[in-house]
Amino acid sequence: MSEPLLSIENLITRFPTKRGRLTAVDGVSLTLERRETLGLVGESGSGKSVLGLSVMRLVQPPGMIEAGSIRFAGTSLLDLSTDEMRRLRGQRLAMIFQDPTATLNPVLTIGEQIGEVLRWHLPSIGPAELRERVVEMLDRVGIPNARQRFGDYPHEFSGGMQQRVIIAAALILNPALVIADEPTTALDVTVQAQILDLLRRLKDGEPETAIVLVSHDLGVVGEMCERIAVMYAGNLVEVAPADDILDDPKHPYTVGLIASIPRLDREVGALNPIPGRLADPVTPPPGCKFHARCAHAFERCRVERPVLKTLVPGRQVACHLHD
Amino acid sequence: MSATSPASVESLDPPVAAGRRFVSELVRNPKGLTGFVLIFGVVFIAIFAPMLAGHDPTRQVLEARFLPPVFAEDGTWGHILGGDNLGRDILARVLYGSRTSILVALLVVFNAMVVGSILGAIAGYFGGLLDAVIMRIADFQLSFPFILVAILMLAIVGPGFWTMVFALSVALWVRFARLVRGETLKIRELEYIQAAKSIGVGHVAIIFSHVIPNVLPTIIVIATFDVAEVVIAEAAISFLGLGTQPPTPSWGMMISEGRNYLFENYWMALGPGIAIMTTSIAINLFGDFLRDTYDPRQERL
Amino acid sequence: MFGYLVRRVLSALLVIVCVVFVVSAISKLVPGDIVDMMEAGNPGMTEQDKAILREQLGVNKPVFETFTSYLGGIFRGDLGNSTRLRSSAAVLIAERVPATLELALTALFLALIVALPLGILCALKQGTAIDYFGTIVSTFGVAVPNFLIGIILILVFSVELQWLPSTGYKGSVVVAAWEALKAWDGSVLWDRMRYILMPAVSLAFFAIALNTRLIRSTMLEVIRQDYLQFARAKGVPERTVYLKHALRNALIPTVTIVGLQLGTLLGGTFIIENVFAWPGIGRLAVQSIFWRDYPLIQASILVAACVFVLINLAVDLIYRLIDPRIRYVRH
Repeated sequence: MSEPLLSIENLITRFPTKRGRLTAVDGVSLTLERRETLGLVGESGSGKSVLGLSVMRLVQPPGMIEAGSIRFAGTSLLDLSTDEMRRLRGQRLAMIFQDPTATLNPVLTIGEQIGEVLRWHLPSIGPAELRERVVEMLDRVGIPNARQRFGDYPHEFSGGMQQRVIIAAALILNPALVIADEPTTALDVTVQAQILDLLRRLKDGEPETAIVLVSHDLGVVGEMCERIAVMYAGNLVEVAPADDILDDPKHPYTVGLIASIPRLDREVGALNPIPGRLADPVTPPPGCKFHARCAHAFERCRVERPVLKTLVPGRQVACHLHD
Repeated sequence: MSATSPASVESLDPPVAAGRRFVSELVRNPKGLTGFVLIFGVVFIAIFAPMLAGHDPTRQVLEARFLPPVFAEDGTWGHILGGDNLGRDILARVLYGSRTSILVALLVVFNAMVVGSILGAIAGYFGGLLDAVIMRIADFQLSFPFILVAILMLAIVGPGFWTMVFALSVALWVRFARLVRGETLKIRELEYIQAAKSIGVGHVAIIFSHVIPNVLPTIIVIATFDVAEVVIAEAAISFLGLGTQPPTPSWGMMISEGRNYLFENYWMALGPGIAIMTTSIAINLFGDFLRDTYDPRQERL
Repeated sequence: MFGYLVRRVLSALLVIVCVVFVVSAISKLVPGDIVDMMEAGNPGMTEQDKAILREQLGVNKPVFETFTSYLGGIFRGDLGNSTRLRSSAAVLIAERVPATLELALTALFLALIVALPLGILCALKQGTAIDYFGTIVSTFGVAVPNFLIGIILILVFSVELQWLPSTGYKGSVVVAAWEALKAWDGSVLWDRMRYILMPAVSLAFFAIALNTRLIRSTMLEVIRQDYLQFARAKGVPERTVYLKHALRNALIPTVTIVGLQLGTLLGGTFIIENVFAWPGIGRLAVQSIFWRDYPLIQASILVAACVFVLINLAVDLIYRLIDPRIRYVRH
């Protein structure tokens, strides 16, 4: 078997705060195959966005990656120089952000903002060719009248169209990995579906691209992804093929997440939110971080932190119940 | 609609509680505290100038002409900051000068605040032509720098202390008027004001009980910064010779006199310079504290 | 845009007409007899001189007639005659406008050229020594009056170090720069710049302080924006992220107040010109007040006010043209 596209090993990312060090990503190990679509799910504050930023090496100081390794297509990302890493971003690794209105620079035209990717990675490209490629990409992401809109400013687009522009910038160089951090959260429901559809189509058209879809919405991820990783308080608690996880969740937290998806076949109002709050990331409780909210917690959960174990090939869970 | 009048919140907060809050906020704010202590010092000096000075600030003594300060060669403890071109004691003049600064600042800011607030309340409350006329004058004035307006006044009426007070008051009323007008307009439309009117509460009573308490924090913040601005403006206008007239000591005028002797007798400008700088920085620090504590919406630009 | 342009120009014209009205009515506003007062400042006036002055200032005419005749004079380029300097007020002022504008514009330039790097550095190095230095500079700059800065500069650079002349004016720096460029000889330029440096710095100090504060705080805000992360994610190097993506946004509020600052700086020239004996309108206006030279007072106040209104108008219109977001809000 060839090497996976991405393999993360025991990654720890921390932010110093006034109260102490906040551990946002707490020893995560994860692999991703070429062309795979992986959903990364968790509540806000679970560390899933920071995990995505860590892979891009875009965690902003004072936050920093303190330990672990990230191998991407045979190179160790954490050993690259700043400039070598920069050259990967936008070309081999790309990122799509949550709020398109805040992500686009308000004072630059969208042509400029997409063209920037080409300019930094293909230094020899001429202005005419750059323009041609940007327009072609705008067309592919479904911006009508792409040629005329090259010189427009972000505020002249709707939220959904802005997200298409960002997707265009992310995918214009056919990166091997796209990290989409809640790409639809800030959008209207109807637009959400269109954007997800676009992502799926673009991915299918590319021979190489893998996607990590970060979301708090298990419903969205279940539709889009082949595999799902569930994150809780900086740890991965369950990793499994999408169908398995939705039909037969193993971790009590995953069970809770699935129960809280609003579904048409259930009575309105029967939402089942998980009781309690996310564990404090500065001073996490001993044992399993979920035990305070877990209905099945027993003595061992309060003292020993469970590690991710393989149940059957392809299914991993971190829970003492499944020992 | 809940008819909680902001004024009633104010009445729940008696002066004692407000005073306690002020003190507890102030001691936690080193910059504000520094400002407050310095302002207190300047006011103290102004009040007790005759006892502190040791010399008559206008008396000319031949031996004291261009006498260097105590820290320079040939200086004496008799004239700590030395003597000026006419042989007057510079320290005494600096100490007495604080009276001029504070007097002008208080007079001007008081005038501007009272007149501006009244005009603003009238404009906002009665609206119509009156409002239009008052606010057009305000807009007209705001389109020029404050110092230009003051100098125009001085040009018309002629230089002098009271003219300067008048000119600066005229130059500063606008901000108060705009603020009070805006608040009055808002208040006028509220239901409980309509109710108050219908039971025969007078206009003046309404403005006093509902408008003023709402804008008071902002007014105090603006007034504080205006005091700093007037201290500087008084100094600037007196520096030009258009304000306080000799022999009354004024820091600005002293600097202007010192301007002519900078090369030989730098200390003539030193004392008043430090005095203006200290006073102005003190008021600004205290003003920043007041704004951050009581009126965080205000951004000063 | 066109409608806005028309409205804006009309309102500027209206302000100018109001200024003309106030200025023309000066003889009515002065307490006491204006010509007798002028005699006090200009001893040796004959009865004939006084009669001409009464006519010129419209002492015995109704207010509106004074206004129309003054306005008529403006259209003929006649702003009356200075009683003290015995020549045309219009000419006297025209000679001095360039010096004032040059001083104010130099100060504006300094206000940007100093505040920009200082503000950016303070924001990027938040909490370090540079940041504290910037905070101290801006606290002082906002609080210390410009004429005092001028005095301090004279003490340091003229009295102590003897590097720069304490007063005077040797002609336009811009003209000298042009000539220096043609002749490829910087000595003339430096000779003139020596004179403008201290007045311009004292005038600019307040604006430098304010701009440093503003640039620091907007930059701090911009640094946290998502679009910087997006730029990084595209592979844009850090330097370009700051200098292109962050700075352009941080500059918008700064540029917005810089235009208005030109007005404040022009007001400041009234004081600074008197500190450094700079031959501009501000100095002329203050001198004319001492001389009780009312025609000259009228003319200098009028011209200063008009320069002011026109500059504000120009700044406002330029903004409409350059900032896409202001354009957008207008639609």
